Amino acid sequence: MPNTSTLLWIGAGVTVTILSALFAWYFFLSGEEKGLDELARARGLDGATPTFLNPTGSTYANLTGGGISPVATESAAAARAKPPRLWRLSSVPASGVSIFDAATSTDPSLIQFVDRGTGNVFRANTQTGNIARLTNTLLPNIYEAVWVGPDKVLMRQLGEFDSIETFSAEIKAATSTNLSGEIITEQKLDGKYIERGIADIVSRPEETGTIAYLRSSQEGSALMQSLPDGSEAKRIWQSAIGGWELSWPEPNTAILTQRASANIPGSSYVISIQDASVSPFITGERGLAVAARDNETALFSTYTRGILSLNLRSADGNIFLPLRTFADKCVWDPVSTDTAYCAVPSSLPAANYPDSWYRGEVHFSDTWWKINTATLETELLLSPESEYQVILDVWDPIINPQATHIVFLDALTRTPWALSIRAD
Amino acid sequence: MYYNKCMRRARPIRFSLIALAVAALIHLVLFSVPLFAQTVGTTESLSSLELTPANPAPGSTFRAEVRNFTIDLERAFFSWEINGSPIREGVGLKEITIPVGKLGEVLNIRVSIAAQSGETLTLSRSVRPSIVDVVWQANTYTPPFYRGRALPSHGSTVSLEAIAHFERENGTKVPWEDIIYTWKINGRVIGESSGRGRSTLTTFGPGLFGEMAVKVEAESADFAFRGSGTTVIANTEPVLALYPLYPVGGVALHSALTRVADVSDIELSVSAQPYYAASLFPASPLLSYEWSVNGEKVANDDAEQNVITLRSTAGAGVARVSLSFEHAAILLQEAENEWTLNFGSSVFESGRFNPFGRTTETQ
Repeated sequence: MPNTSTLLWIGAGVTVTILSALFAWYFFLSGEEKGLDELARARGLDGATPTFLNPTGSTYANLTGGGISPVATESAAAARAKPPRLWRLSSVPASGVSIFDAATSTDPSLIQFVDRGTGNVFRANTQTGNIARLTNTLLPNIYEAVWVGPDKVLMRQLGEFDSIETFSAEIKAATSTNLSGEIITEQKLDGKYIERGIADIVSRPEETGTIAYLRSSQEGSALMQSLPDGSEAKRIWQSAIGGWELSWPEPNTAILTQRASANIPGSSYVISIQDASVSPFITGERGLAVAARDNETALFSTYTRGILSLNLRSADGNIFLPLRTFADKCVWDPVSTDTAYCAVPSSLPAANYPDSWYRGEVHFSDTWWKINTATLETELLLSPESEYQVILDVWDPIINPQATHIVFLDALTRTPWALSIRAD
Repeated sequence: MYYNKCMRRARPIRFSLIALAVAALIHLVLFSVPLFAQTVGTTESLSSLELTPANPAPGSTFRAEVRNFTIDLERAFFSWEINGSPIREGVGLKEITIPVGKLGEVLNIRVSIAAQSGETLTLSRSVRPSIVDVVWQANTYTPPFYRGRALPSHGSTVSLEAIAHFERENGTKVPWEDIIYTWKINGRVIGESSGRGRSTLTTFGPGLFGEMAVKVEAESADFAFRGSGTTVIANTEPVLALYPLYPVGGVALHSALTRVADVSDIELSVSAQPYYAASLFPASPLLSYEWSVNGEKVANDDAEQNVITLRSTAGAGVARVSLSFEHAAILLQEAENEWTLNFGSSVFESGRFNPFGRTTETQ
């Protein structure tokens, strides 16, 4: 019969063994968690693993985790802070970001974006910095999202044989009753798939409530206009070839530009939405990309003999600007019409542009510049790399009608960002 | 009787003589006047106002030049007018450069010449600025949402369209159905694709390492407008690019893998995208892919040949991935590429950590 001392020793040994096992298990789990982080990072989802301790839930933590500066939380309303000038809206890829002004200038503008993986819609408040998920309707793998209004978005996915499918979604309030009998009101995405094979879609949410798109087929492409759900579609113009980029700078003016390639002349045309007349806008420019303000004025970039250049097209002719960037990285100020903002690569590695950039083979570290197109003066606005230690390759910039913010995606990570351009 | 016989024989002879005389008279009327003009000539008929280029584009300039071989142009006095307004005058001013207005703005050019001999001469011409663009796209593969041009590779076809901007003075435009197009490839007329309203052309692209010049001449059916456009299309080699493929998020078409890339995971699915291959989609049965990893051929799913999953079973490791494709129906339409992927590489320890999860190229 073992004595008390032996029992004590056995008990102590068992305790130490259990504690050791628990410690080992803890470290094993920590290691696995790190592995998951790396896995997520490799997939471009480099946010911290949610802790599930955040009062606003894991989605919020997931989105804002690892941000460049803290943002306010719903529970810390008293301590709400203005968002940083350069604001990362999410640490996971998004498929489309836009910004909508409130009815009154005192209310904040709202930024909305679509999570690329899930199709969930998020909204960011430009005054409080709050980010909230609006919908949790699952629509996987959204490659592109085009906002038609604060409650309407066109989500673009890949279907069979890599064909592009477009889901016209509306954010609607839906009420349901939970298990406790409580009535819950939540937002969900409701809509339908519209026609297949739409090569490009644009909208003018502030004015028309309609969309314009390019229908692509074996016969070429057709410029169409319809309601966001695809109804009341009418053909405006037809081309025997595909490969056009569509923009819609004015309610009655669409601009079609041939897709660009290094050293290959491209042309851009003004199409009247009303009478389908076609007028040459910019013709025969190599590597042509266009950011049009209206049917007379545009910034356009060219790539000739290894030189990327930005130019101003106006009624007075074409003027070379002292910035080397792609017109794709520029937006026009809707308030001060002689002002444009462009993201400019700090350096351009040797490559064929814009092909290599479009293919995702080359990425840049951009700085933001302001251009006065009347005086041709340029002014450095922000260098994300030197001021925030952030490398950003600007893709699809959009400015709000009040000209307070530019929202965009980072071309490499597809994370959504907002830049405040208001002076205060 | 004899008389009557003679008369019957003489009647055709007389008729022939009369016919001959009438023919001679007609010949004299038709051909003697030009002959006379050619011999004697008038200053107007021997003068011309030449425009270079003949169909100037809006916003450009063109040269107007007087040509005459009977008067001494160097000593003659010239007065130039455009749309009735004098613009320049001077001795020996036989040519001037004139800016072209906007599309549809007609320029009526008139020049009065006073020769030293006292002879005077007036010439005039009208210019209607026009543009004829040739736009094209190769019928080759580029990934969905790609914003660049589809380029022609060996054996692929190219679709072209002529966009003629013929604008009348009242602002209306000549519709493409009322325009006669003549297509030429490397100077050879493509008759079967030319004609009234034939504004499009689909043809085989240039051969390996080659290029082709395509020209289209357009003329309105009422002869009021004329212009031409030219483009040169060069052959391009297909490009094989590799993109990460994630279960959540799909193919990261915005982020091609660089030649040497760190992959922090030990497993990665990748999707190959054959830019400029003559196929509608990358997994087309027309395209045959061959993958190899670290020198060994790897079999993959026949239905999705362009996708492969790479897994480093021993943890960290290097995968040297080679990939080639060839077109089943077009000989020599092929491409190959190589990547070195460092699987399980600790991006934190290597000092190359990028907070945005970028795969970093190592030299």
